[in-house]
Amino acid sequence: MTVRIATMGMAGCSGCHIALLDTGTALLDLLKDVELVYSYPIVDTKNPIPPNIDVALVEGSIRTDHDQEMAKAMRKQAKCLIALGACSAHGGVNGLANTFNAQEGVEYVYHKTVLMAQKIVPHENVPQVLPADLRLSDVVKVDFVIPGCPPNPDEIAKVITTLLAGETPQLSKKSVCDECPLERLTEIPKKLRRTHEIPELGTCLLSQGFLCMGPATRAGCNAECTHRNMPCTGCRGPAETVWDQGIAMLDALAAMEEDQVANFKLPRLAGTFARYTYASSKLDNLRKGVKKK
Amino acid sequence: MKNEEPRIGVFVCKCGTNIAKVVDVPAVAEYAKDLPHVAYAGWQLFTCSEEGQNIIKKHIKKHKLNRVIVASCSPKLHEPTFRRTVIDAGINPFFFEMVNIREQVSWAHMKQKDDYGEATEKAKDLIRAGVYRAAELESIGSTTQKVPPVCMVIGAGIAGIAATTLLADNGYEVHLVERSPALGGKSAQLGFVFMTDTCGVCVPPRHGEMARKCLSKRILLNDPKINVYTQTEVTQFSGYIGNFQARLHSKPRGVNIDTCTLCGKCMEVCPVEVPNEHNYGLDNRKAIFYPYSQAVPRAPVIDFDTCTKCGKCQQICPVNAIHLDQQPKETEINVGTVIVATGFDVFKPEGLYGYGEYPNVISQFMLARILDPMSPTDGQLRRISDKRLPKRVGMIQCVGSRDPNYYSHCSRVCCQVAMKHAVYIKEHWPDTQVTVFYKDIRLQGKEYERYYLDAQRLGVEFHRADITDVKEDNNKSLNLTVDHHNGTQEQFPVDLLVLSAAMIPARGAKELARTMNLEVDLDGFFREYHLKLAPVDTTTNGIFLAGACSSPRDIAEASFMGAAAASHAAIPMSKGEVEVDLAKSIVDESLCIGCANCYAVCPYSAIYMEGGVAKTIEVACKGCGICVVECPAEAIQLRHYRDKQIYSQIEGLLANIGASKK
Ligand SMILES: Cc1cc2nc3c(=O)[nH]c(=O)nc-3n(C[C@H](O)[C@H](O)[C@H](O)COP(=O)(O)OP(=O)(O)OC[C@H]3O[C@@H](n4cnc5c(N)ncnc54)[C@H](O)[C@@H]3O)c2cc1C
Ligand code: SF4
Ligand code: SF4
Ligand code: SF4
Ligand code: SF4
Ligand code: SF4
Repeated sequence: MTVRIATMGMAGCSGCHIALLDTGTALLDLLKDVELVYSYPIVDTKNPIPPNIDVALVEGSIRTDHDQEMAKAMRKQAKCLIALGACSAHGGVNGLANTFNAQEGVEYVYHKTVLMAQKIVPHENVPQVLPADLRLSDVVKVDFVIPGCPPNPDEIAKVITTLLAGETPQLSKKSVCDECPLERLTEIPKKLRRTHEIPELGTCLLSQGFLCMGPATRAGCNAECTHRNMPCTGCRGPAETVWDQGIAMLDALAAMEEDQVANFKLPRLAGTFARYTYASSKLDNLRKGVKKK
Repeated sequence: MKNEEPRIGVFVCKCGTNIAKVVDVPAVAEYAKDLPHVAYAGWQLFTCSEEGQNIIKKHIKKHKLNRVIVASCSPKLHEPTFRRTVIDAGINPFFFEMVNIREQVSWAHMKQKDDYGEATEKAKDLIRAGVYRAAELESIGSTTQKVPPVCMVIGAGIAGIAATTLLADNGYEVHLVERSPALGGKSAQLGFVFMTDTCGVCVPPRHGEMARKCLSKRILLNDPKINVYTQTEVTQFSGYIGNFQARLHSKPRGVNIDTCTLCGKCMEVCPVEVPNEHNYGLDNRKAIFYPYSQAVPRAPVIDFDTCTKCGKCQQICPVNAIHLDQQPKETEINVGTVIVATGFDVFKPEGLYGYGEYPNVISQFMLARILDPMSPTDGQLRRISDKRLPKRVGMIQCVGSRDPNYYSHCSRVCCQVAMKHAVYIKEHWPDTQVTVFYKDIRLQGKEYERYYLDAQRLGVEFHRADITDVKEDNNKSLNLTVDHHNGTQEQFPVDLLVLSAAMIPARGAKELARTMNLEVDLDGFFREYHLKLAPVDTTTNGIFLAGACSSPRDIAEASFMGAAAASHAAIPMSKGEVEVDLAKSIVDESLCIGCANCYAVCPYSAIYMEGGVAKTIEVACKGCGICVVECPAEAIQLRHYRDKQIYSQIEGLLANIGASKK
């Protein structure tokens, strides 16, 4: 029996779908056994979501009431619902919008930006923006998460083949540092530095004072960024044991000399420490009050 | 034991009426019966009593309990008691959980409006949190640490000496570390001291022997068990009970104390003269000097900051005791226990009541030095400006003490010091008028009141008043503006004004606290672990406090406390080992990324890095939890306070949110 697979996109950039296509020959192998019944970039999706879907991959966060309805509709048809990528898994970069009032944001776009000559916020026949950006699991039950911005094609292929084999896929429980080749120093940085200050090769970026989110971020990306001497920005969300990715890294910085941290002006704290996870972070929970389901 | 299904017993205590008056205890026990994993719940009148504990043991057997919760008072008080109870019943002590419904509930809500209402509900909430947490607890073992019979005592004032002699008499080795060139601290510089009116340098040579001997008999310097380091400070400190390492830095004395006969010739020939700090500028001293009469060790010391190395003293010294090229010395010592006895300093009331501006405004400590029989005035009462007998002496109390602008504490001895000096002056110079201006007179020590009555009998005047201004006249006498507390104001002339300046933490106490990771209180004194239950202990196992370093004290108290600290330090040293439970930090090496954050922040040096991961030294860890917070990978956890244990407790606390009350 062929397995029926669907993909769907919410508030996202389609990057996750590109990553899916990037699985390359693995995708071709897969397609032998599966039927892609619904997928907006690949097959026609004008029809309603078909029934009896075995595996559904959902990209993007929930930003509008339309997203919300679509997520619920997909949940009804899918036996296994997978959040694909950072936006769907943790709210993604979109989640940073939660540091603003949503309604004011909408008004800004329609009233103040130059392209909007009419200064009218459209209300009819368009989806309405929700008060906050949500991750998929805030709206429906999610069976599995493939994190990353974008997600790693090998990991996508592995998760799907594991599922097809009737097993439960496992994400790494460790942190990015576990896969990072750079050498750690047994001392904490004396000074915080910004990425344009060019790190030395071969030495742990955090030890050198660059804000590398590696320690608090889930492994599985093969530390692609730090392999290229770029600090980890945390796109894969919190590591298994980490309570809150951003707070864990902030805590870790507290070990440094007080004036070092105090003098280091970050343009946006949320954007640095919770770039992909703000919508699902404890910070946002605190701000929003009790979470809605 | 980990996978065993939890069977929790909940014992709610009435604490007589302490809890039962405010909390409906039987209702709380009834409520607890329905909580998850609870196999038994009941209440008692006094759970900590022998009988109460037996009931716990009985129910442990009867209901096959494997976790026990007592909801009663603060764990600071009875956690050890109940841990022992469950151990007796064969349960690991870390399966015991205490819920505080006295300090946190019945005492906090004593004034609630409805009988039992809110406090009872809060007690239920806290117990529910405890039950959720208890289900996640784990069994934790212990280890032993050897403690060698060697103690370091820092500070050789009366408290440090009392501790040192007691330890040495009991056969322990002591390293006595003193910053100044002489032993005895402040009391050795007081000519005579209250209660006994004896000289301040006398200390008993052996505990339990009445015969007094002066420090000058070198009791300390000749005892093979005691290693004395003068002019020495602790510059580095690390380790844990049984294994403390200290690095000592000793300044050179320049004089060999074993061969010097204190003939004094060197001090005669030395051409350098500077004000004598021990006499507050009453006289001068040479660059080579003997700190004060009766100072021990009985040998001069060279002040290398002012010495010109002219060599005159060396040439004249008949026994070749002088070594001008002596170098500073570094010593590393390893000790089992430590007693901190660094005492106090006298507050310098610069800018207050003309102190530092007018010569005849002095502190009680300077007066004590003037009245010392061996002082530059031979113990005669004199003014500073003209060395004449003052006819009118004024004293102002609480200078810097009990003052929100300076120190909040009462210095506790200065009322008594003022009495001592006033009585002494009236006895020796009856024509001198002595007037004491005070806020309150606080005399609470044994025999203290006697001095007060003596002072009144001898005609010392006491005025409850504030001094709002001090002006010097042409005679260098002082004109006080006195605001009496009855609302009147007057001008009051005196020839000598003596300020009862506050006792404050010793210079360098804060730095020492940082070096040794000890806590200080708001006024900067060393903080004891618990004022009632552990007054000589600190938060570091194996480090104890004695004397005025933890609060202003008189000599008697400082001396008791020295003995108390010595007895406490002797306990682990006499046993030779301590048992240390393993409720400490633990690293999951598969998660540790080797960032060394924990290693950098641990205030107790309990973490080291090896093979790219962090490792903890359980005996050294104090369980403060700082490393847990700092670890970005959450690889380090505190046993007994693991994240999951805390989260489940929070979950338990919140489990009832939204449910209608009652
Ligand atoms: C004016 C005045 C008069 C007093 N008169 C009386 C009296 O008559 N009767 C009475 O009972 N009490 C009196 N007291 C109180 C008495 O002085 C104290 O109770 C007593 O000195 C406390 O002893 P101690 O050993 O705790 O401290 P201290 O006497 O202060 O001794 C502490 C010692 O530690 C040393 N030290 C400090 N820091 C370090 C360091 N970092 N490293 C190494 N060594 C260090 C110091 O040099 C000093 O030798 C008086 C106090 C004052 C101010
Ligand atoms: S560079 Fe970043 S990912 Fe690599 S070890 Fe250091 S902190 Fe971890
Ligand atoms: S060498 Fe120094 S101490 Fe000796 S006499 Fe000369 S100045 Fe004085
Ligand atoms: S002892 Fe007396 S003078 Fe000293 S602070 Fe206390 S009340 Fe004031
Ligand atoms: S809990 Fe951590 S930081 Fe605190 S003493 Fe133990 S090892 Fe050090
Ligand atoms: S802070 Fe955490 S990750 Fe870093 S060395 Fe310590 S235990 Fe390892």
